[in-house]
Amino acid sequence: MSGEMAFVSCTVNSVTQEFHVRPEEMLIDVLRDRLALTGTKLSCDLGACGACTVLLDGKPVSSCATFAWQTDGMNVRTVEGLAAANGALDPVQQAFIENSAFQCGYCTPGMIMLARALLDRDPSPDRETIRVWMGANICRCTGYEMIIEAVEKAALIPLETGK
Amino acid sequence: MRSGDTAGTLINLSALPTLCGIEDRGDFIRVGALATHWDVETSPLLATRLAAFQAAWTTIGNVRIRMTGTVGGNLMAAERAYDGPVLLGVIGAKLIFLTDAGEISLPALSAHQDYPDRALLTAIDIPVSMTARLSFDRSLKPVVSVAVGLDGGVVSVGVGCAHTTPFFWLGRIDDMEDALSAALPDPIDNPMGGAAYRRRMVGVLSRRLVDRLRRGDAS
Ligand SMILES: Cc1cc2nc3c(=O)[nH]c(=O)nc-3n(C[C@H](O)[C@H](O)[C@H](O)COP(=O)(O)OP(=O)(O)OC[C@H]3O[C@@H](n4cnc5c(N)ncnc54)[C@H](O)[C@@H]3O)c2cc1C
Ligand code: FES
Ligand code: FES
Repeated sequence: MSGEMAFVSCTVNSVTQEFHVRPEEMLIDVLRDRLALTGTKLSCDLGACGACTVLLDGKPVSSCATFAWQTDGMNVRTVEGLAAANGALDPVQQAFIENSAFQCGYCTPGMIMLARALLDRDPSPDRETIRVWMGANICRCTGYEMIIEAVEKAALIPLETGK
Repeated sequence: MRSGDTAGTLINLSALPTLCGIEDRGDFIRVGALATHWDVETSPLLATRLAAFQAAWTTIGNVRIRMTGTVGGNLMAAERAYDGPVLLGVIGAKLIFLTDAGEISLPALSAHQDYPDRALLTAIDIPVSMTARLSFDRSLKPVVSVAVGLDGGVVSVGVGCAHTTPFFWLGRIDDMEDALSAALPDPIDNPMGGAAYRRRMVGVLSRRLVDRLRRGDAS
């Protein structure tokens, strides 16, 4: 690729999306500016904080550090795509609310996507595993305790099916 | 990129899936340059044959970084705070490059000083030895990190973060303290860590790691 636009076809929250992107265009900009999915937040822009975490074929990635063209043929999932079709919140979302696992809320979409990725891989993680995973994203407000407890609680809530 | 940088040419290396594998080659394990840190962390083969290496590699970054970052990208980024070059250097790994002149193999210990031009790193070959052991301390990063490889009486010390490129010292275990100190170039001196402090910590951490390996503690 050198200079020219790349054609990308992917699904975002189960909807097929097709667009032309510049080689240097980042996934977060496509999500926020073209698709108006502003739940995904930009903070450090360095891949460090995880505020911009989305799932790419189920893997948690920093959308600020992922080229848009890298999503070609892949499934992107953002926080807007978590609730079931009937509006039922994802267990992680529900547990974050019940546990007050946020204060300013800026890190929350990224935290929730990271927790979803963990529970998709390991539906009953132990506390140490949760601690290690959630430590990948930065929260400046909560001190993590409530976040870890929310993920523990989310693991106990059945996932709504039929999305 | 988001601040307006443009790319002259971008090559999507992930379109080369053959470079992702981790294979048993008998007396060494071949790790494809595009294997992610997560592939290393979760490889049953590495768990069986290079467990200390796998455990040390699993301290890189965090789970989100490890799922996307590649072993090859870690080395070729040539960042002094990255752990890959130090860890691979002390265990005698070789880097396999595809160049205009064909395939070449360079010791990880010295390759970082002068990566070949126009080269694609294709794999890393890590020797498997029944006697070699590895220990790593990154608790003082980004000021200094130290990895130690021990095989019989021969010790290999790798120092990260303290200089513009990793520093390696190989020698007899009995001579380590004085000889390492004499060979160590002046470390970086900046507000994050003074040169004298870094130098002292290289000595402290390397001695501590050697003691740990002699006692038979895991990395
Ligand atoms: C928040 C954060 C924390 C991190 N923490 C750590 C840490 O604790 N320890 C650590 O060691 N690292 C750390 N890293 C680095 C990380 O481990 C990745 O390895 C590194 O970012 C390289 O990523 P990549 O595989 O995407 O390579 P890229 O960024 O895609 O590539 C890096 C460079 O290498 C070149 N390159 C890549 N592959 C090849 C190849 N096969 N042949 C030739 N050239 C190639 C590219 O052209 C580029 O110049 C961290 C990174 C981030 C963002
Ligand atoms: S904004 Fe992407 S990791 Fe911080
Ligand atoms: S709730 Fe404010 S940063 Fe996490």
